[in-house]
Amino acid sequence: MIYAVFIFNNKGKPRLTKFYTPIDESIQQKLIGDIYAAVSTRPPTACNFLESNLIAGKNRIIYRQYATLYFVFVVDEGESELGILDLIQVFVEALDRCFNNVCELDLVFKFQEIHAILAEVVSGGLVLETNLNEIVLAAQNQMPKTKRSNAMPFSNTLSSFATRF
Amino acid sequence: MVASNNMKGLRAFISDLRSLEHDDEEKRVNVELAKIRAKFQSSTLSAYDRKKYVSKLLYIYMLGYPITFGHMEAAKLLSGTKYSEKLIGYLAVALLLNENHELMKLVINSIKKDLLSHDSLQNSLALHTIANIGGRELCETVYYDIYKLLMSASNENIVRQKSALALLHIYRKFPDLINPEWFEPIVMILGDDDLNVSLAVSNFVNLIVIREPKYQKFAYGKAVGKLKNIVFEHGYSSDYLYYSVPCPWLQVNLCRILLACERPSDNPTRATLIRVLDRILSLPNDNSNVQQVNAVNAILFEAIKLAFLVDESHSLYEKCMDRLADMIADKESNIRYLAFETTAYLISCGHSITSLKHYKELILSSLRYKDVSLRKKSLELLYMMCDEENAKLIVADLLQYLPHLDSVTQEDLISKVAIISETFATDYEWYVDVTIQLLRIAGKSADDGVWHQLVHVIVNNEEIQEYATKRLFSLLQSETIHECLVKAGGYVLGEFGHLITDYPDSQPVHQFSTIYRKLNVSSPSTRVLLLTTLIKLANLQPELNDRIAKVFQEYSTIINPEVQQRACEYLQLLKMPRDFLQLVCDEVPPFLDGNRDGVHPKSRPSSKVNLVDTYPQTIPNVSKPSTPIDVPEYDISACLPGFYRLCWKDKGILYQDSQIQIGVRSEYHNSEGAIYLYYENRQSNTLKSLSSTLIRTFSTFHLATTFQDTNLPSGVQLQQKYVMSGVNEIFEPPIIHVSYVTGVIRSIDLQLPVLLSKFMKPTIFDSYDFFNHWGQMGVEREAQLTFGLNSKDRKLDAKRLTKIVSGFHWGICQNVDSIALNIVGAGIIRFGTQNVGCLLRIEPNYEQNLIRLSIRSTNTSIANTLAKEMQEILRNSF
Repeated sequence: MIYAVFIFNNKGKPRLTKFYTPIDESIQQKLIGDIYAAVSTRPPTACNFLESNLIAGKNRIIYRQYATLYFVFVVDEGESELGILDLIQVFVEALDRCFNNVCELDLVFKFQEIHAILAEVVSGGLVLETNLNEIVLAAQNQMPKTKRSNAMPFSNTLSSFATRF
Repeated sequence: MVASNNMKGLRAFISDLRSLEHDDEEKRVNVELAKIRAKFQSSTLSAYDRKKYVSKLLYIYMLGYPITFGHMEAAKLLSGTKYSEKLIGYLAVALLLNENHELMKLVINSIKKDLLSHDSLQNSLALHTIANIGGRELCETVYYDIYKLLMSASNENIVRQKSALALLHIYRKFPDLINPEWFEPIVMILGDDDLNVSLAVSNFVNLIVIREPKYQKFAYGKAVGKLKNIVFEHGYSSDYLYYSVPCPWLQVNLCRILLACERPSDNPTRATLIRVLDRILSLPNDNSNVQQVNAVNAILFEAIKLAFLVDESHSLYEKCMDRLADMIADKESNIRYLAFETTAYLISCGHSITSLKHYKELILSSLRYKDVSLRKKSLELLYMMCDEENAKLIVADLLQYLPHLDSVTQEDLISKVAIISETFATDYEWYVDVTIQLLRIAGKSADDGVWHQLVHVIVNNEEIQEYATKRLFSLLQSETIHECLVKAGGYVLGEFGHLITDYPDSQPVHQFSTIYRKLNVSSPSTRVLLLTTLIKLANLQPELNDRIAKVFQEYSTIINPEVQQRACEYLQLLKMPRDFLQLVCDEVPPFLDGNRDGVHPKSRPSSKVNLVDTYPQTIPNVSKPSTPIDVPEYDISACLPGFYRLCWKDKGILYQDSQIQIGVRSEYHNSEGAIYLYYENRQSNTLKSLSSTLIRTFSTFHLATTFQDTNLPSGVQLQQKYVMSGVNEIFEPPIIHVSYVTGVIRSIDLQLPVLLSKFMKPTIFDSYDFFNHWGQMGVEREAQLTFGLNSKDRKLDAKRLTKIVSGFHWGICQNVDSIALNIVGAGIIRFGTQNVGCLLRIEPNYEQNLIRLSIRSTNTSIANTLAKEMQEILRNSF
């Protein structure tokens, strides 16, 4: 089971927080800070899994870094680590397609749409859909296509700058 | 179709915030919150504005500010007419509410309405919310509708997928709502043409096979069929290829389902599965793309575990070993980490991984990686790989790496090496050498348990005492050793220094001067121990008395009160008659078995004399180092089913797994009892280094006889007998720690079915006498508990209940209670020197599956203890 999904930038600012298990609000912010601290200090050569007990006992933090952003899944031991790594990639590629080369600004200004896309991938803490075409189609049914009028002209896009991969 | 989600006010607000520093941001946020609050109180708020302001609240929430209002406005959006309003409303409900929030009641009707809508987008929103934050009331309202959505083939696949996960949420949290007749149709969906519907349902099936074993056979066939369809028959469209790997997540889940099931007796199904696994294990992995590599490896790890489970003939063994070997040697940290973890998992399941031991060097080198996760995994794997053949080599290698590790990894390594050296010690010299080396290299990182255990083993094993004393004394003579070695050396020298006095450089005067030098440079706690060493030396080497007395005089004016007290007391002790000193400083008897002592102690009768009988006058307080038994927490969960049953049956199996079976037989005669343990090897290999040690006990519980041989060949049974010579205290059931080696170290903690009520003599009263006694004891001496059964599926059974009460050694008194269903009992416990009367009344409620238990006794503590014992057993015995 997936307990939580986070996206934050390399300064620890959250761009998406989604819990699939009930967590007190007072604990949520501390949790995000703790996970950012754990993930951001790891060297690029380290593996993408950490063991932790931050949520509900024994669990695992699985993360990937793309340009300025960390994508983090907190899961229990029932999930396949490599499966989650690939799922993060699916999610990022879906964002990339929906926003036509997604960048951090899209996450800031279109956070409702990011949540809608995530809802097509994970539901109730479990993998719902992994077919990229299906995800994009379902998400686009809910959102009109929009131009990024506020985008910086030379902004970095995520998938082309994924570190280590 | 839907209105634009572009809300200019929201965008402007976000832009404002992004240009501000933190303090200004906070001010701006507070200004906006005040504005939004005022808007929400306005009666003319439009749906568009509600959506916009709720969106702003969500953004503020995401920044980390608490949201204390606006939840009602979010709930109203759920019943909006525009889809974009619903979308924001559902998002807000999901983020701001949880299943226990009081507003959830208000949104139930909206969710149900959207669930029953013919619009799949609205269905999706509702299902997603149920799956994420569905509470009891919501789930009770919608569970049947969700099931219908899932089973209806005419629904869009996306709706069926979400239905599966929503229904799984309900099954996980409120299993009583799910009709067992639904399980088979749900398992059937594994075969659905749409692989994502199969994927969603596979999560559900995984839980079904764990909770409902009777569906395992059916699910097994379906899972194998689906896996075969994907692997051999290409039963998928190109849409499901992920970097040329067909739906890896589904393949992983199918393997997980098969891992959770019992191995089938059905040979054709198993043969098919082996062919499928053979194909998977042959998948090329050309490293062209990291996503593909991850996808293939995700499936491989599950397939390898499954192959070991299902492939009895080992036809896939070579392929598994080759793949694992490649992955252990992989340059990629992720792959190596998971390869270590998988290998350790396989070893812990009892599989032989002989050929991978060639990679020991590679695994060892991972101990020096920067990655703390990888260091931890490699250490765990090395620990699992130890057996009697390679233990010494691995320990030697680990000690080589020890100086280069960070302190956290050092701590892990030390505790693992300590366990390995105890378990696999074939001679005590090696054990002593290894432990000394651990403490020399990393004494700072070792906890006191390590040197305590070293002392424990030395004291309990006469043959090692001279060697250990010599080695430790040699270390004491060097300038820089860690204090824990000073303590260990000091203790051992005090007890056994006389054994090495014939060697050059370790004559009494050398021993004295070495201790004295250490004494001057040690911390107070070590000084205390070394002073004790000196008093023992004075006992064994009388020629040192004058020098030692001077040291005590010197330290009797030391500021530290602990040190000063010892010095003063010991100085006085030196002035006592010689015989007295000998009595006080006599050699300590062997320690009681600690849980971690794998080097078997040889028991000796205690040579201590009761000092009070010899010298009735006040004796100075002579402190000795405390007994170094380090008893960690124990985990008795594995034996609890057996324990519960044996608390009311005389014989049966306490614990059983694929390797060992431990049976118990009990005999009680009034206030005395005996309990027999039978250890049987269920494997074809011999279990070695079998040990069973008592880690929780009480004063009248004793080991009477035990097995001599530590090897347990296949099919052979070894026996232990414990006796209970009455009872004189409230106690908890004794616990034993059983460990053995079957290629790897295995250990379990077992709780023995010895309860206070077992010491009761059953007594029968007629109605008049019973109520007379019941009244005499009075309600103030009553313990009363009302409780249900631990599992909702269980039901109270009258015959079983009576049998259990008799098993507790209550005498059942007939025709006493006016309510025939009630059970009345009586008994007498000889507690110390007193006979304690006990009376019982049980009022079962068979409709509600509840029990009210009342116990009265002339001793209130006994009444309370009996009641608690009975409650726990009864709750778990139906």
